[in-house]
Amino acid sequence: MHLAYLDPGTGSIIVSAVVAGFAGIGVMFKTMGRKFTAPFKRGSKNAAE
Amino acid sequence: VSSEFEAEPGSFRDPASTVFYRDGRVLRGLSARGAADWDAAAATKFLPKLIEQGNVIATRPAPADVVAGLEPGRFQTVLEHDRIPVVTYPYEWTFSMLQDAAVLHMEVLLAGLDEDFTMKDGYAFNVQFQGTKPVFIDVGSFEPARAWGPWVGYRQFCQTFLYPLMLQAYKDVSFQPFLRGQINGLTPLQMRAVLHGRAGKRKGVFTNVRLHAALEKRYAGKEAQTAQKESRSAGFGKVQQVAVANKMLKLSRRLKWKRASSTWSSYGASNSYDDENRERKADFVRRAASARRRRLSWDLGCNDGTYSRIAAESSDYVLAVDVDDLVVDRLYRTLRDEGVTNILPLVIDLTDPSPGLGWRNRERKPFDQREQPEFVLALALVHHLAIGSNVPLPEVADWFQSLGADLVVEFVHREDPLAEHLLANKPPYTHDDYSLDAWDKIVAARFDVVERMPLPLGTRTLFHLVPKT
Repeated sequence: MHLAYLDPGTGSIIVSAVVAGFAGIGVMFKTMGRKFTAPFKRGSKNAAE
Repeated sequence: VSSEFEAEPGSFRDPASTVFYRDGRVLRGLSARGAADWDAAAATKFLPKLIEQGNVIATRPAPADVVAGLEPGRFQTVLEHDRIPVVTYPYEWTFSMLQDAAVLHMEVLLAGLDEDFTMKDGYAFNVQFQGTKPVFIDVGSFEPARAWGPWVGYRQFCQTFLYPLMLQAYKDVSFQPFLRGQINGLTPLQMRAVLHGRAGKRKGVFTNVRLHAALEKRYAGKEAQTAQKESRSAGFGKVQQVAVANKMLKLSRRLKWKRASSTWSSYGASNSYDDENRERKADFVRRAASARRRRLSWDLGCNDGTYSRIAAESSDYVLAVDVDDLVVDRLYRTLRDEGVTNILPLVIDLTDPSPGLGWRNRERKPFDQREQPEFVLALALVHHLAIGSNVPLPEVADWFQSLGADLVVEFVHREDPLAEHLLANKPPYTHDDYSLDAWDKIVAARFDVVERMPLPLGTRTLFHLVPKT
């Protein structure tokens, strides 16, 4: 897949979806939430590090 | 890049596109990927149009003889750009300049999006000024939207355009020291800490600052790649990128900075000059400036730009420099509205000028290590440096001499009301050495005096000086 030379920042991507009034933001959150936390137990703060 | 080619030390972040120089020409080497992006962009309608309008820097394939000697295979394609007279940085611009640059950047992005092109970044340093006209210079930034998804430059746009503008519009805090302090601009967390209370409720702050800071904190360390992928598959596309660009455009445009007055903002109207003295001074400056055609002139302590305009009559390009950003902002807006493109107003404190910054202190050049001036105006400036900032008089003259340019100095005697005003704040013994006699001796050791003229008002003397070599 195509990647930017610049790290766009996960938080920034989500905000830009809000700025755009993006209807798919719910779906985004849902799948992202699953991906970020899937391999770890709930409550593990440093899940993706 | 071999020895006759000089790499631009500020151009390494995007590996697909590298700026370098040869014989004063500005060249851009593109990797295979960069070249494919450029070929696609060059075939559009929007890019040639933006170039024709002067909104994007004029660009063409570099002539074969210019690229001869480059290591074969180093670049797929080499482009040549028109040269910007003097490179400047956002921390030297005023509020209106950064605002105009932000608007230009979003207009350029929107023009691209219309033809399914996006931009790889949203960085204020990708804009330069040609006089009062902002020009987008990073043609390596355009790429065909191969797969849509969020605009990757959004955070950079916030950090280097939107936040500095908000800081000044909502808090009346000048942004220059902060942009100079951090090469990537202000962060969402810093902005959230600053924009609280009433400022926290102003237009655009909730989403672009508060929510941004909260989400950045919440998702710190998570791979942006995942978010990019997920937003793409959720349908984040062209429509959304256009919406973001339009929001940024409107928000940048509507921000207003209202500072009514500053130390210097009424100097032009209230200084001690009558018409006769003003005319004599203008004639002196014109005589000195027009002795030869000048490529580049500096007007140091330009205030309302009266003498910058006189210098511009016989110069290709003039930098109008002042420490007071309100004064410089007014000058910029006046010149911009007149369509003047050979005077560039800049905010510089000569006792603390722009240093080398970024990687190895080389990405951004110090103020006095860019294009060298051929003519310099320092009118009613020396007493500020010497009395106001305690720079010893000989040091002031040494610096002037080091510029190697024709120089006009207006020396304000210690009996002048403005010098007295500065001296009044100092203990009596600190500036005993500040006098016309002392200045005459200091000057004689370093310069040939072409002309020396006391003004009729009796407390100021003009010097046209040429440095001794």
